[in-house]
Amino acid sequence: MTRAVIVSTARTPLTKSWKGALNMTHGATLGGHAVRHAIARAAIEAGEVEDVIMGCAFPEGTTGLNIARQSALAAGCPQEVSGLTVNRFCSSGLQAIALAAQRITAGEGDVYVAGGVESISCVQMNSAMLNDPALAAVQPAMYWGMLETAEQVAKRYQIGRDAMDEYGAMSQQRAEAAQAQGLFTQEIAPITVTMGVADQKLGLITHQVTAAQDEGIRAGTTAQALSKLRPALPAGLVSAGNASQFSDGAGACVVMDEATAQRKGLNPLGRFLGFAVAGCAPDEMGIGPVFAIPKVLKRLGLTVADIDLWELNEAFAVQVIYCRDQLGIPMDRLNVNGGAIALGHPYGVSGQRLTGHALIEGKRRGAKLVCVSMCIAGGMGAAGVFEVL
Amino acid sequence: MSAMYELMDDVAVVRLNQPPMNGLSLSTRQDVMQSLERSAADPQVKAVILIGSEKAFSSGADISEFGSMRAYQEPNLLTLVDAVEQHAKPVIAALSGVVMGGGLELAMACHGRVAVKGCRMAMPEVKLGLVPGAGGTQRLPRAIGVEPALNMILQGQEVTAEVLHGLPEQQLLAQLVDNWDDLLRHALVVAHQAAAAQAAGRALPKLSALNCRHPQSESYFVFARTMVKGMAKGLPAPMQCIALVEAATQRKFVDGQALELQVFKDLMASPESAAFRHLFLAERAASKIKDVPSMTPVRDIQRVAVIGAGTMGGGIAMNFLNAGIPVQILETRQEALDRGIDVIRKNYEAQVKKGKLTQDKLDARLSLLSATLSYGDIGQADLVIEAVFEDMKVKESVFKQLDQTMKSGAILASNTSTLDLNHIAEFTKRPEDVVGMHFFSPANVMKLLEVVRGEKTAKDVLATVMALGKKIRKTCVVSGVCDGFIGNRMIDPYFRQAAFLLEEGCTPMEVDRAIEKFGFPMGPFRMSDLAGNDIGWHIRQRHASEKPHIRHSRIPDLICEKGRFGQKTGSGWYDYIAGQREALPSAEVLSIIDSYRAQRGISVRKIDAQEIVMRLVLALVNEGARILEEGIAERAGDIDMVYLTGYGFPAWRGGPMHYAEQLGLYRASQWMKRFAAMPNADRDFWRPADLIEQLAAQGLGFAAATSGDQS
Repeated sequence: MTRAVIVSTARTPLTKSWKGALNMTHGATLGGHAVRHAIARAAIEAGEVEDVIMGCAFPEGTTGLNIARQSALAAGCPQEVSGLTVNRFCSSGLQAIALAAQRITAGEGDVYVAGGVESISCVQMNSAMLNDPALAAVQPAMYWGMLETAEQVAKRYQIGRDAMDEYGAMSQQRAEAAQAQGLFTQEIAPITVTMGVADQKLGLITHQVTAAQDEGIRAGTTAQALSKLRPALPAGLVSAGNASQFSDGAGACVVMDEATAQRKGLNPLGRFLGFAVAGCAPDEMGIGPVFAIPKVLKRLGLTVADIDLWELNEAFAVQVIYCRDQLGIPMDRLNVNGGAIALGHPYGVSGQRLTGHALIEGKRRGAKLVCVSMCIAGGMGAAGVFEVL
Repeated sequence: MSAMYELMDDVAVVRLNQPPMNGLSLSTRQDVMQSLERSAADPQVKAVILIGSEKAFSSGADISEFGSMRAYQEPNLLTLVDAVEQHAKPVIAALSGVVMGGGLELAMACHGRVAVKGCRMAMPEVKLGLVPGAGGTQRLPRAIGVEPALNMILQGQEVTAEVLHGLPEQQLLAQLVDNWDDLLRHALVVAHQAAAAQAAGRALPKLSALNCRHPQSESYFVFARTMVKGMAKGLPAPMQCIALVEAATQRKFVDGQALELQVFKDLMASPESAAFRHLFLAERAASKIKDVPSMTPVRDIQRVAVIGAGTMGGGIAMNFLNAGIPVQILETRQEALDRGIDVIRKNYEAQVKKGKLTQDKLDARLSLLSATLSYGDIGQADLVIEAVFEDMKVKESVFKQLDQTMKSGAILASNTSTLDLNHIAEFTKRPEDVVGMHFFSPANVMKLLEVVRGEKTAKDVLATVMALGKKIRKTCVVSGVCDGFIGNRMIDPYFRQAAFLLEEGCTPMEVDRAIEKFGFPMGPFRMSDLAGNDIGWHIRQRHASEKPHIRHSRIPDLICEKGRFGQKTGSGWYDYIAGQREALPSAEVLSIIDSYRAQRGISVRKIDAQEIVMRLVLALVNEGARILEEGIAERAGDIDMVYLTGYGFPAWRGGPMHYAEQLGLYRASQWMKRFAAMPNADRDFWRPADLIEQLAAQGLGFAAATSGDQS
C-alpha cells in the first residue's frame, strides 16, 4: 500500500503525425496544455505542485531543453515548480507516474504532475553517432528498428498475418465503439491550435482548429480490409493496419499524497500500487511485458486473474498477441476500448494515457485492480498496477 | 524594336513587343533599359508605364536563351529588375494576359501594378527544376503573404489576377480592370497618382521594402518541408523554394536576394534542371514535323468512329468523348458491343464515385457515344480508328470495308502496334489517308500517342492528327514505319538484356530493384507480369520466324511454358496472392533460372546495380540511335518524349537519349563495347550504332544529328 493516489487526468486528443491537428504545435504548448488541465481538474493551485515529470521518447528539438520544465511554465505554474524529463521510450509516461508516486511514498513531496508529451511531427531525431560500433558488435539488435523486432517476434513465435490483422481490426472496432459512446470524453481536454494542411487546390496552408477527438480511428475497419495492406518491410507481416499509428499529443495526471488529497476533499481516481521493469533480448523487445508483468504481480502478491482490466500498449498486434497468450490475459479485459493501433502512440504519452483511461474505464465497469504495461525499445518491459478508487 | 517607347503627355509608355509572349530576350531587355534611360533623361516625363500585349505582359525569360550566354548577358534579367525598382521616377506595370516567371518579377519591381481581370500569373520555374532568380522568392511573399507565395512558387501553376487581388492585405495589385481596352487608361491614372505622391515628397513604394512575416514561421516551414520531402522525391528545387521563402522571412531583402541568386545558379547547373529544360523544349519540338509546315491546313474532325469495343477501342473512344467529340463504336457482335459500352460507362461511373467527374459531365459524354454493328452507319465520320485484333487478315478485311464505306476525305487510322502500316495502307485505294494512331494502354489515361507516318500518308493528314492529338490532350510523337515504331522497338532489347542479366547471375528482383532505384516506376519483370508475359512470348515466336538473327534468352519462354503469365494467372516472374499487388519472389522461377544456367554452363557472377542499369538503359539508347539513323524518329528529344509519356522513364533524368548525352556519348559507347566483349554477349546488338560513334568522335550530342531549325 503506497500513499500515492492519482487525482486527475487530462490529455490532448491524439492526432495523426504530420497531417493531423497538432502537426505544427510546439512541445511546450502541448505539455503545458495537459499539465494545466490536469491541475485544474485536480482543483489545486499550480503553485502547490512540487515537480512536473514528463515522459518523452525523443526529448529534442521542440521537445528538448527539459520539456517538463517548459511545460510547467507554459501551464502557468509559478517558477518555483520544477520539471523533470524522463526517457524510457514507450514506458516514459507510466515511468513518470511511478516516479511521482515513489517520491511521494519516500516523503519527498506531496503533489506532483506526471505524464508525457511527444511530437513525432516536429521532431527530427538527432542521429549523429547514433550507433556505437563497439556495442553493435556485441548487441546489434540494440540498434534494430522496431519493425524488425516485431517481425522477429512473429517469426520466432509463429504468429501469422491473419492473427495480427484480426487483432488490429478489433482494436479499431473497439475504439470506434468507445468513441461513439463518449468513453474518451472524460480524459480529453480539447486544444485549439494552428495546423498545417496540404490542400488540394490552395497548397500548403495553415488554419486554426480545435482538436477534440482522437484522429486515428478508422470506422468500419475489417480484418479483410487490413489483409490487403502491403507490409511495411518487403515480405514482412507487420503492416500499417496491425501496428500502432504515429501520433502527437500530451497527457498528464496529478499524483498526490493520499492524506493531502483527503484533506482537500478530493475524490482520487486510483491508487498507485506498484511498478516494475524487466529487460529482455533487444531483438524481441515486444515481449518485454511477459517479464515485467509477473515481476510486479509477484511483488504485490497478485496473479493475472486478480487483475480486472488490462491496458497493454499496442505497439504491434504481434507482440500484444504473444504477451496476452503467454500470460493468459482474457480478451474481455484487455484493451477493451481499443489501443494504439486505432488511437495512436505518441511514445512518451502512451503510458500516461493508458493509466488515466484504465482508471476511468475501470471505475465505469466496477473493476478494482488495473494493470498498465508496455514493451520498450532496447528490450524491456514495464508494468504498473493501480487500484481503482 | 522589342520595346516601343511612346510619350503620352508626361508619362512614358513602354510597350513590350516581342510576339508571341514578350519573352525577355536580350534584345527586349536592352530595349526596355534604353527606354528607362530615355524616360529618366527626359524632364518632361513624370512616370513610366510598362505594358505588354493583350495576350501577354510577359511570359518571362526566353527559354531558348537558357543555359546560353545570352541569358546572362547584360542587361540580364536581374539587372533589369533592379533598374526598374531603382528608377528615379515611378514605374507602373499594366498587366494583361500571361504574366509569368521573369515577367512577374519585372512587374513586382515596379512601383505599382494594375491588371486586367482574367490575367494569369505564375512562377513556373520549379517545373524546370529552378527557382525564380530575379527577386521573385523575396518580393512575392512580401506582396501577397508567405503562404500564398510559397504555394505559387512550389506549384508553378497559374493564378488569376482576381484571386490574387482578393488575398487579404495583398500589395501586388492596386486595381483590377474589366478589359484590355481600359487597361492603359487606368494605368495612366495610377501613374499620375504615383507621380503626384513623389512630387509631394513620398518615397516610391517598393515591394522589397515591405516586411515579410508569418505568425508561426518556424512551425510552418517545418510543416512545409515535411510535406514537400514526401511529395518531391528528392528533387532539389522544391526544397530550395521553401528555403528561399523562409529566407525572405528571416533576412533583409538584399541578403535574401543574394541567396536566391546563388541557389538559382546552383540549380541551373543541376542535372535535374537540365533534364526538365530538355523535356520542355523536346515537348514543343515534337509537335513540329520537318516537312509539314505549321500553316498546313487541317481537316475538320467533327465525328470519330472507332472499330472495336475491346480494351483499346473503349479507351480510345473515351479520349474523344472527354474532348466533346461524338464517337460511334462499331463491333461485329452485339455482346462485344454491349460489353464495350458497359466498360466505358463503368469507367466514368468510377470517376464520378471518386469525385473526379460530375454526373452531368458523365451524362454529356455518354450522350456523344453511339454504337453500331453496321459499317454503313459510320461512313460520314471524319476519322475512323481501327482497334481490332492484331492479325493482318483481320486488318485487311476491316480496311477494305472502310475504303468502301468511308466518305472521301475521311482519315483511316490504325491502332496497330506490330503490323506494317504501309501494308495496311495498300489494302485501300487511298493510302494517303491512312495513318497510324498508336495509343498505349490504358488508352484513356496514357499520354503517349505515336503517330505513325506511312510512306504515302498525306501531310495534311499528319497535321490533322497532330492537332487532334493535342485536342485530346495526348503527347503526339511522329514515328516512321518499322517493327515496334519507337517505344516498343526500344523496349524489346531492354527486355532481352533483362533476361540475359538473369542468365548471367541476377534474380528478377535484383534487376527490378536496380532500375526502380534508377527511377522507373516498375522494373521489366514486374512490368511484364502486369502486362502479361504472353505478349512477349508471341513477339519472340514471331521473331523466331521473321527475325531469327535476334538473340533471345530461353528463360522467358521457360516461364511462359509453365503458364506463368503474370498477375492475371496469379504467377509470372513473381508469385502473387489474390487481392494483393505485391510481387513475391518465386522459388520456382529461381530454380528455372538456376537449371538453365547449369544446362548452358554459364558461370554465375555478381552483377552490381550500376551494370544492371547501364545494360538496360543503354539498350534503349543504342536502339534509339538506330531509330534516329533510319529516320524513324526525327529528333532524339522525340524519343525522350516517348519514353517519358509512354514508358515511365523518370522525368528528372530527361529521357534515355538525354541521359546518354549527359553521360557523354563517348562513355556510352565505351560501356556498350565493354558489354559486347563480355562472354555470352549479344555482340551484334552491343556494337554501338554508327551515329553514336560519329557523334562521340566529335564530342557532340544528339542535337547535332538533326538538321534543321528546332525552334
